Amino acid sequence: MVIPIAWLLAAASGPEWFDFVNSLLGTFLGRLVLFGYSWGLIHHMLGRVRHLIWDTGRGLDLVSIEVFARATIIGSAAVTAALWLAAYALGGL
Amino acid sequence: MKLRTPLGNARGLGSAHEGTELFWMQRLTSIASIPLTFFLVGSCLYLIGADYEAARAFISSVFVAPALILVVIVFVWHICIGMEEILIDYVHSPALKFASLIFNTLFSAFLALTGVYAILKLSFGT
Repeated sequence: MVIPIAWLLAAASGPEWFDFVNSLLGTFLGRLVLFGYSWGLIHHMLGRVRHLIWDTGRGLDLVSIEVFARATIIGSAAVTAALWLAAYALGGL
Repeated sequence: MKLRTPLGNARGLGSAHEGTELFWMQRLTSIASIPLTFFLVGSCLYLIGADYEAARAFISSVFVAPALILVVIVFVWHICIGMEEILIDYVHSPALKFASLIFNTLFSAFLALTGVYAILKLSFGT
């Protein structure tokens, strides 16, 4: 949450800070960090939804575990890729 | 010689009907985080290329600002509990454990307050 809160703080500090932080995040390195951040967020969400399903006692057999594990990795990669394709399509960046 | 009764020995060691708060809050904040993640990601997509005034108008709208405050509080709370569990489980030196636990809690409070303050300032400030 450090990055989004830093961005909010910059926006609250006025246009100069807002433009400065946006330009930092807009560099190749900034975008790489944001890409990793979004993948981490989505992967964590899918992985923990899997844990919430396990908490109900379902899906604990070996076949389901294998399927869940693959679905989490493939799913998070696919959703993140789709998200960034959408971002570049929307922004034309 | 022990002068304590068996009940006295057991007191405070067994179930006191407490101790599940962190587990429960972690599940509660995780479920709340799912729709909030969709909202945050959607907001980020909407704000691509937005200039200062557009971003400010979006964040300060009556539907967005409260939801963003919820994102900040729920996410930071969730991270704080998660880090606390990791620190308790894996930091074995007592001094380092308590130092890191204190830092984790204070840093989380700082982050959450800063985030909420920034959203409120964008909404009401000049």
